[in-house]
Amino acid sequence: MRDLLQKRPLLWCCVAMLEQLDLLNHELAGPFWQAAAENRLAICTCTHCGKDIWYPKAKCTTCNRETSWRDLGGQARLLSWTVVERALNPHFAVPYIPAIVEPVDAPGVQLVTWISPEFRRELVCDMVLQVTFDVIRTVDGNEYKAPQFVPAR
Amino acid sequence: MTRKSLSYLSKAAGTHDWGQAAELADISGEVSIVGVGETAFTGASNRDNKTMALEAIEAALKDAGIAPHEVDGLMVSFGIAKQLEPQDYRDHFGTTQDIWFSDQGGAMIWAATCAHDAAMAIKAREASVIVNVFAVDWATARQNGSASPGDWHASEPLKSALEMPYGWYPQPLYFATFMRRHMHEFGTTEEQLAAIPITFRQHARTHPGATLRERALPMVAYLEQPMIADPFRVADCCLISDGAAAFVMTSTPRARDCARPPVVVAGVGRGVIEGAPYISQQKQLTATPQTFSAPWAYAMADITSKDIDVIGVYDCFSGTALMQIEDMAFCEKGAGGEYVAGGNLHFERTRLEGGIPCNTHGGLLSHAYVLGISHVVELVRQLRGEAANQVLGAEVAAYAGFTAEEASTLVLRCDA
Repeated sequence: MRDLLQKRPLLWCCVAMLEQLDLLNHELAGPFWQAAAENRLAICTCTHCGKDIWYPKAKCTTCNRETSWRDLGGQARLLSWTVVERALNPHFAVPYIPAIVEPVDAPGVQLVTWISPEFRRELVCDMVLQVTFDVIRTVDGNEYKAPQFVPAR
Repeated sequence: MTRKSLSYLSKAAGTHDWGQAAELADISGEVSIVGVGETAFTGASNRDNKTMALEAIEAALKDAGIAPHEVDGLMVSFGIAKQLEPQDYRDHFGTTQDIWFSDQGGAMIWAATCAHDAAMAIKAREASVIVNVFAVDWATARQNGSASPGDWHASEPLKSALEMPYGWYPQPLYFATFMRRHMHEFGTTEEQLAAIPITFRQHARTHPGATLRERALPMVAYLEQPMIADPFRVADCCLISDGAAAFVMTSTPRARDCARPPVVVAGVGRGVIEGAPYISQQKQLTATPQTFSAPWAYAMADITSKDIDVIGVYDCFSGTALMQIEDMAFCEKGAGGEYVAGGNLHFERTRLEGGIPCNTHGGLLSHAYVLGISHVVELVRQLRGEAANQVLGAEVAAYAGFTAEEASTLVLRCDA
């Protein structure tokens, strides 16, 4: 880690290390990762008043009743993205493309996600993307199946 | 003087579906800034945070003509670096006074909102002379590998569970993503965006305190820089610095007895997005919470953007400065690229010529990354007529503070 920093001392190098974080059993986001493990894209919602609750909360922000989760179809609109070219944090090989997408069947919900760099020349704001599921490795070394997106064909 | 009601100010700020203004009471004219002080700004210097803070305070008190024992209020930042405490102040100056203390001061949005809190404290007779100070040693910390501005992400449960696995940190990525959307919606170009770092660098070149004063930044050199996170290059991202700044506030009547002409706090605003603290959940990707903050401060100060002569805008990234300039109503939403590329931020392009001189010290991009408190110091110097890059006839100034999910606005004016 120190070596990496010394090679790239420029700016904003993020030296934060996550403590071991069990995403599947995460208090609020666990169901997102459990669904992903089964190739499903799911978000937190209130079945009582029909409101999607994102980011997830234990109680509905409108009716204060307990929330649950619902599966989405997997298509989403690309709101925006960036191609990270400089290793601002040493845990991710560059280039990589984090993005914000809005599921077509959950208007107003914004998911932070990932697009493979092989598609970088094809990306345009508002294009429709399709979810895929691939393994990611988090900074603490654990591997999870994660929703990611590719241009819809 | 008739005070404006919260409902009047709220109406001026308007209603929005993606955020709102905080209800700050009208304190227009009640307090003034009477002294400013700074340390040298540098890269890694191994200077101690508290030592730098005390050095800045000494300079500010000397500037104000106020003795250390007269200070009875201290405002610092919570949670950002190691800040001064009242006992540090007493130990250093050898004084024994009681000190009213608030950790809702410092830099970023608090370099503006501290003036509101100071006015309330002075009105409640909790304090009479209040120092706001901020010190940062992130250049040294980065060299040592011990801390960085991105560290807090890992401590936030939903960022660490839903954003960090995708590498959506640290901060440059947020605003690169937002700037990409601005380019898509409004046709903003890389060359237009470049006008922000280039103009601020021009200011830094003739400002004695700016850390990058020796380095020119022509357009061709800007465009040759590789991308960090597109569309941001190195020059679009703030410095990492060591240094401190402080300013002294007191009631405006008392301010008139100080060594320097008072700079009056005319208006303060604060805005926050829905979904805070998660900027990934901001529903308007091409704007900032300055949208809610600026109109509140303008209404309190009884001005519009057309009355403002010089601004200091929190420029952690070129794109956040661009969007805040739009949100402060210096041009139409989306027209910011064309506006800044037209040379309108340069200190010689005055309001009367359609400009709005911005970050005349070089900003976070070229002066130093002390998180905005030096923007306020620079505006005070502008209104006193003693700035290095002096804006002719500057009488009204505005600082735009920013954290990401929150923004603030501080309107300052010369004493009538």
